[in-house]
Amino acid sequence: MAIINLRGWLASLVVSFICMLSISKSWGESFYEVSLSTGERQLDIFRKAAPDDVDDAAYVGASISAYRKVNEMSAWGAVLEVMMPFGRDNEIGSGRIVGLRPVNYLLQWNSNFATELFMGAAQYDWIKHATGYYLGANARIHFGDKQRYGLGFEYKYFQDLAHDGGPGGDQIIDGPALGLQLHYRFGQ
Amino acid sequence: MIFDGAVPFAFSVELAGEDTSNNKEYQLGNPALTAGLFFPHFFSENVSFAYEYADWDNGWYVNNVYQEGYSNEGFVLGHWAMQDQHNAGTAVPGSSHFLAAQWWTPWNHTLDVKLRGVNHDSDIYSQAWNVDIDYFMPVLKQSSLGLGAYFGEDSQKNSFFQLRVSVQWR
Repeated sequence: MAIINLRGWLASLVVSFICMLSISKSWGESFYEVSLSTGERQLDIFRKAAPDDVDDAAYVGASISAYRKVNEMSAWGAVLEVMMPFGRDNEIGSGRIVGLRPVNYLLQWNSNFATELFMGAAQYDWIKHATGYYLGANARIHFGDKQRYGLGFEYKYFQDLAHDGGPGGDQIIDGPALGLQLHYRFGQ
Repeated sequence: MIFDGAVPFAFSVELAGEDTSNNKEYQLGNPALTAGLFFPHFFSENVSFAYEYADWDNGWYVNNVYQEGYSNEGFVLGHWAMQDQHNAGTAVPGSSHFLAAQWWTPWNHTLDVKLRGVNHDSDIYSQAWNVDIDYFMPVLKQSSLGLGAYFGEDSQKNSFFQLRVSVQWR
């Protein structure tokens, strides 16, 4: 019980911190990014009373992001992304993953190098829509006019994407994705 | 999360569970995902616009653990799209779209439009939609007269239509 209470307390602390930041008057301008990505994702499907399954596939992805600067070095952002697999014709569902990330923290180490930590909600198209959370990080090198272009790699981990029912009971999907990204920044 | 700029907007995401999976409190069961965008000034100081998408698994508001669900006297207090499911007692997966726009006219009137659509992943229910329109105009001091219409088709294919007149005062 103590662990549960500690988790609740920590969650409240994190949410309070984010809310506090979101109403800070010190926040400044917004900027936006569109990104393309490709890589590999491996999703493990667990059930109580049926053999586990695996959905491994290469993917192409696209995302759109909005960021709000905290200062010249960092920004909080929100991201919508879609990952479409290919080469999995015999698998169930489309395998598409939609990610909605309300928490993204972008840290600009210098004019060329930035890293980002993020977490959000993801939905995977399996027998039905399986929904859960995911988190990850990316690192990118920015270049070109006003450092608008970025090339980087990212790692994500999908955790407890679930849907009710199916063979063997509830389907619980976990797994990582690793990919390369191309970013274009605008609006700043 | 709130963003400023030429077109300011707010973005929201909600991940919810109606139950747990496999009796683990950190695994949300029958999850529902809701995401929204709100533009208080949608390319104009006088127009606001909102969009919300929701997608849910089965069991919401009818689970036998708490059969009344989050409702009061049969009226769902949670997500608007699941009222029909709650009434029928069988909750299936589905998704919904909600659009809302408001226009403050130069002559100090207000037009308020809401569009709602629901898709159920089951033959038990059909696609449902409704439109809710209100027009408010100032009358006397600090009062307004509203004319409204609400019409659509529910998930049992029942059409409905409502006209209303309202007065607001302070």
